Amino acid sequence: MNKFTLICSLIFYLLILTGCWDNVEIEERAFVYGLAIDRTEESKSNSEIELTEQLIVPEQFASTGSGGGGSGPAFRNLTASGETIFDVNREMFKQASRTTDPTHLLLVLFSEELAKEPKRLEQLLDVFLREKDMRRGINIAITSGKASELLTVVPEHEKVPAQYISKLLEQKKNLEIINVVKIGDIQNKLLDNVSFPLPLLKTMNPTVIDYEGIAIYNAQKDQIVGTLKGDYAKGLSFMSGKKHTGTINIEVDQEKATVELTEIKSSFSLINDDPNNLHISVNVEVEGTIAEQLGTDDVLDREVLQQFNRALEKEIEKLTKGTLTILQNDLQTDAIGLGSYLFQHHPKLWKSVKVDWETGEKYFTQSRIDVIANATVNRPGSIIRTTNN
Amino acid sequence: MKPMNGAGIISDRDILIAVTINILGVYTLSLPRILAEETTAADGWVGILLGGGVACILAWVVAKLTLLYPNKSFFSIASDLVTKPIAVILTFLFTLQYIAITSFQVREVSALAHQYLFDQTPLEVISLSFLLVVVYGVCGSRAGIFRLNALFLPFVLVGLLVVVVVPLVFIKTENLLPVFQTDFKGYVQSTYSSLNTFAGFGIILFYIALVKNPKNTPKMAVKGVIFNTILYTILYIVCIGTFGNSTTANIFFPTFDLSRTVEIPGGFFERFDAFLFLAWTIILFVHSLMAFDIAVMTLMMVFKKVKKIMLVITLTPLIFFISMIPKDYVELTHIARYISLIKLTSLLLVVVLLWSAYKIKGGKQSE
Repeated sequence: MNKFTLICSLIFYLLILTGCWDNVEIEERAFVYGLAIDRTEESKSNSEIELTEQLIVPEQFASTGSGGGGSGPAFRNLTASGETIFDVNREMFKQASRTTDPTHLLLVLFSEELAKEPKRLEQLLDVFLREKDMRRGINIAITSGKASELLTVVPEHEKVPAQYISKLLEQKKNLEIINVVKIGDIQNKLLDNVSFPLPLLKTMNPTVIDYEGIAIYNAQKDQIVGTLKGDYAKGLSFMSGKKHTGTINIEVDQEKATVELTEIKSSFSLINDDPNNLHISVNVEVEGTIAEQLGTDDVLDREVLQQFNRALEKEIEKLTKGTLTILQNDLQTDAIGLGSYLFQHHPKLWKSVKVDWETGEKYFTQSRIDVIANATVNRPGSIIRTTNN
Repeated sequence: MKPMNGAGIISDRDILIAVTINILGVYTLSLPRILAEETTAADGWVGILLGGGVACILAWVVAKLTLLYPNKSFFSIASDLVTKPIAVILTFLFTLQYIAITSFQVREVSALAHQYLFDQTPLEVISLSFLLVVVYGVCGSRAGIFRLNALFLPFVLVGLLVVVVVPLVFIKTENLLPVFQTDFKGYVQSTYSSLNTFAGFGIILFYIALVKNPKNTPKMAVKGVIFNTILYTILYIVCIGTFGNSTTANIFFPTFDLSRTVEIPGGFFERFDAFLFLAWTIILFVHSLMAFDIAVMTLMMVFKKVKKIMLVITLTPLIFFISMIPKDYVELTHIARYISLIKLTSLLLVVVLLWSAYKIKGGKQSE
């Protein structure tokens, strides 16, 4: 082979190997960080949704904020409506000028109104699991009020609302906050027909979003059936044994005190396995530190310590009882995972009650669930008391 | 009978590596799904262990069989034991089988790439460029293939190790419960399915003849199978622990999706799967390289005068053509099942046939 043909063929190879059909320059990509899904205002046909995408403006996003360059927002929200998410996303290409790229999508928000429609939530989740660009770690939250509003809340310390919200969801130091719900976890629960809790968010003012409570998804009805707020949300946290911690207010000697819980462990045990008289006990074990006391008790005294422990246990039992009453009677939804516990540890029993767990015979509603709390305050804090009187 | 051309070019260890890497493959990607469909919770590991055990025995028998005639090719062993015409038919059967396997791999590469990377790039282009690289590899010396195996193995192992280790954080132990709730039928099915994925050890039937000092080769082949059994068991448990049984049964390639659950903080590494695609492409490449090589090798056993390069050039368009036949992914998954079935049955058939012929003849020819 002479040199000429060699060089010619090399050039030819270079030409055909320059890249593939799918090459999209990074400048051409519009990274989507957050999605909000609402019902359309007019709702011509019932199935129409309104999708808001939060796109990143890289120039603003990358600048360190110390002057220089323009000072516009680091994000751009686009809204369009249509039948399915994928379809609306394409619709948005008409506004976006860049190709939207969901590879780094952080969170998806659904409005409560939408999630309360039967089957809507599970239908809308399909695309996030199917699409090849999606990760299974996308956070999910429900919003009371319009979901798209949350994507306009710009706090002072974050540049992009979607980042702010997903960090908020990952907060671990409050008992009213449940574990982050990722899209990958939900798939298993939907396939197994298991009810589960979801975070519920709300806009407080133009720069603050509030973690309002916990929305309960019922797997039999395929919709959000209700919400738990405040103390009821705390009760749920105790029973599902969260990895995170929080505080709890108790009363010792008619004086308020706050205990910071450092560890919460919960486990179920089956006491009576007759389907009609199911008796399950929830054992909650907590460890805590005295964080604040308004009284003047001598915390070094064993008696006082016992008082703290007892008060703590009583408070936990009260909180969980409240939550259980709502879950069993009002919502009739097993959001604490008792069904999964029975399947995992008593598969034979579960086989016989599975069909009538939440609906039909309603074994969940009828079963007796006791909470036995066991609290240990193991650190008094740095001082014994602040004042003597 | 003369020793086979090229005998003595590889060592025991090369067989171990070849078996290990040849069992890994597209099936590794979908195995957890198939097992999860058939069993409850994490019980699929029983199927893997049983399937692996059966595969070990088979590998041992096949290796022993070829060692009855050290350094003789499959064709000469077969013609000695069961007359030449039957040997020709058997060899052709294997040629066809390995052509089909190569085509399947070539197609699967583009199918995978389409599923996870590309939307627009045509199937034909991905397949063809992949096939051309494979052809380049086959044209070279056979020892080179084994060297490539040894060279790639660390990459593949590191890739798999990362897939297994990093999601450990996400494992929920409650997903592994309850244990042993699968019915008998489920265990049988899962054993069968996992045995199918182990069928890749069949290459030793052809490659043992090349080993320099083949005394320990059966042990090495079995070691390769055992290694994969352990790997699959861990992989399966990690899959079920991370996703849960129902989800695993509903993901096309659970092994691959494991890497998509992994999120290393920081924009670039948030997408970890790209690195894994590299490992899978290597596996598929080595896989099709060996399959193509065996197809050529079996043809050369029969047509002793034809040049290797001629065979390669004739086979390439054929392989490309066959790889483009499946219409869609449904057909492709069916074909995957048939191919592993054929792999296994042809192996069993040959082993039974040759062993019984050997026993009838009294085994004196080998001395």
